[in-house]
Amino acid sequence: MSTTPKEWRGTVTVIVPTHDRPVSLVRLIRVLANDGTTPPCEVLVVADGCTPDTAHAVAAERWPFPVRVLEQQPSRGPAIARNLGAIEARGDVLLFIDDDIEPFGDVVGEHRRLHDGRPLVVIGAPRAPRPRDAGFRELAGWAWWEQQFERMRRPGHRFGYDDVFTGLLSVPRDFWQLLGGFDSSLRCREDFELGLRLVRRRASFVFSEAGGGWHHENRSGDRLVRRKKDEGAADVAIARLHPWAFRSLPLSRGSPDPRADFVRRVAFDWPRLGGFGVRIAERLLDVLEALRMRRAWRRMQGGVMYFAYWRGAAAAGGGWAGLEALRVAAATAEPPERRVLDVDLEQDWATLERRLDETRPDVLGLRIGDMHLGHLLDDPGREPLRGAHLRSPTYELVRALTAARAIASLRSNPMGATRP
Amino acid sequence: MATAVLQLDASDSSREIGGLQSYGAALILIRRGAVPVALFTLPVTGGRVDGRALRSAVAEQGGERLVSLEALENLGCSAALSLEGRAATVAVCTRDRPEDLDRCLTALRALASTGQELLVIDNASGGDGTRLVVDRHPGVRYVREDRPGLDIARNRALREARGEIVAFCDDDAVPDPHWLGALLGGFDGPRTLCVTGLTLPLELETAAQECFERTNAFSRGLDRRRFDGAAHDPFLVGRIGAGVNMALRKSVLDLIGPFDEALDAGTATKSGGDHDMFTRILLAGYCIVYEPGAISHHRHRRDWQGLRDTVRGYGTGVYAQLTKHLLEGREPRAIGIALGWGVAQLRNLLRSLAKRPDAPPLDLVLGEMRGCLAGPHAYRVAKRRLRVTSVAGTRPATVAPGARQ
Repeated sequence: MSTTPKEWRGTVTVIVPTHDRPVSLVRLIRVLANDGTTPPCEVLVVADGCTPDTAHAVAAERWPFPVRVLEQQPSRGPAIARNLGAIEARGDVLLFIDDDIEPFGDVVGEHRRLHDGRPLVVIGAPRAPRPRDAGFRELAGWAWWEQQFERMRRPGHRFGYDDVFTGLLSVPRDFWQLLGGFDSSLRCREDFELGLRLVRRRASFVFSEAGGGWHHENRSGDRLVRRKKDEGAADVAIARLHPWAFRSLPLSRGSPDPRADFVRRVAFDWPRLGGFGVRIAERLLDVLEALRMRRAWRRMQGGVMYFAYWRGAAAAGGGWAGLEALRVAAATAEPPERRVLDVDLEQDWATLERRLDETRPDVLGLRIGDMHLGHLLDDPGREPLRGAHLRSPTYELVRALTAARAIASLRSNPMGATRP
Repeated sequence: MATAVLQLDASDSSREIGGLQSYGAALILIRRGAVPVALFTLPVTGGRVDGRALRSAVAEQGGERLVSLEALENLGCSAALSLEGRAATVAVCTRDRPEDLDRCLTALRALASTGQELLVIDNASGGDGTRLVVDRHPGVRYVREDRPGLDIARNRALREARGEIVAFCDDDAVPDPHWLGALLGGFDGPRTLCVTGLTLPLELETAAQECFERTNAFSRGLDRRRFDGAAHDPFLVGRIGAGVNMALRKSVLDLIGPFDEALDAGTATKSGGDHDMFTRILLAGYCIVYEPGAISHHRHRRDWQGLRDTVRGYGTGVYAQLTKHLLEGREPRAIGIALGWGVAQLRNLLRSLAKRPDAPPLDLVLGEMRGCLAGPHAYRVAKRRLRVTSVAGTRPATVAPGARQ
């Protein structure tokens, strides 16, 4: 493991993987330069299979901090580009920013302040600007991102692997080296795969609004379908890498909706027919939008995306047999170490809250007296529990425990329900 | 006989209630602190509400909420909200109702203080009555708006407000002391542009008021709900709430545009300005939260003619608003909603003609149907009048659906 030179301690290296987007790349670095980001911060641009325009655009301006361009030829994808940047970085904290992001003011300072010597993973919000005169697709994309951040900014949110967005992410360099960087075999969902390893290493997460930026993303319909297929395939790869995490992946779940189940069957059993259906549906989506039929549009769009995900998974996994093999592998895989906190349902909430903070369990084992009732919140894809999770505004944990208490009290005293 | 409107704390709800000799029933809201947990109507016999019936209704309707609240309170997560840093303006748009306004302002001055600004928009009142009432309430800012129209007054309030959030209260409403705090607490993220609250009757003393509560009640239940423009039908806004009890971010002016001044009271369209705003918020992909902890009491019209006019105005406003979205927003969904309303009206008409016990009175149904039929023309008339006003030198705010200023 390399050590940080003395003059670079407490500093940030901004790593920007880029692929032929010189305009937005320069916009990003300009924001950093205009917001008082000063040395010893540095910016590493990893030009992933770029034309010389990228290096020229960066070199054409003078920056108040060192900016280096690392060439990666031919293109090997953003995950390997980020790893290359991390190897070359000198700062204590690695801040990854995608090249289509326009950071909010003082993003480097914000991430530096949040780390402040603490071993944290800071997730900045890559917020999509609300598109003007937006079509249904753009509006749905914008709302999807906003929904993710609404969830993550709630106090007491229990972070999971799927909250790790690499658009704006910072990690202490030594922790990064311990993790081994991004998995270079993945071309998609490499952030979620990293998230699983972070969760497994019991990382602490912080979501930062101020440490975010505007995400100027291209959202054409073709690209979305392709992306969804890639996600299905990537989930298969992740399940093979981490069988213990299989049941946290969408891959492990079907849908109770018989129509969705039918779409999944088509993706596995009649892919050509399904592909034909998707092409028709994509044309119909335009018609539905022209007629402003939102509900029908959402359903059809959801169906197309669902098909694309499962088609990608089926192709990568080898059909039903492949999916079953993943399931079997998950069932027989050696489970990661899971801390279980035994919770006596008769204990008071304040004690439970304190014990959650002290022990940071992954699972709650419920009991009343000597009677074991079962487990709660056993999700290997989520961070260990904290006392703050009891105070989440949705109070899911409190409600679940309250229900468990009520059931337990009925079991121990069945007449209690009818007592006047 | 009239219906008593009562509020009880959950800890106080196991005893018999007496002293209700002049009432035949009681509409009872059960609360635990500021949080409403049950709402039901019980018969009054011999001036009393039976204690056993009361206990049973509380357990049946509020039991689950009470258990959850108790658990949260044990954790120290009370429903009391931290409102620091939320600058708010409470705006009352009023026209020639000094008595109602006086009662409303008295209630507003009793609100838990968050440093809010109190603002009265006097919307072209005839005399000095409104100003004199405001003068009696220190700390209330008076603004005169000479152009008549509720939406014109609302827009003026949004422009005048110093707070980041503007809570609107009708002059004939009496908000609860926790009302503003609950509304402000409902703004759970930057995408939430509007919060509505639970509106209950102030009194149910006359047949007209009881009929209104039975057929057009403002209450939307005791569960907090979030209407997300990304998922919710933007034209099904009736279940969200009403302008009598709502708060908006001031930024709505930039993000969505002002209220449509061709809609609502004071124009030919009679109503619909609030629902038009809800629709536009949802069309733009933003969210509206219904927060039942924000309780306000509305004095329904006491006389039958007033009730008939109100219900007819609702019909006019709904169809005026749908006409606007169909013609200006090119939203065919408006036709579906209009047809749905039409079918519901016909069903009500048949039930009234068949004299079904729960049917709305025939004259109200006919009045609402006439209002619906008048809606499209009323919108055209209102827009034409606005254009005339515009020529006369003032700038109207008519906003195409989904458009921003």
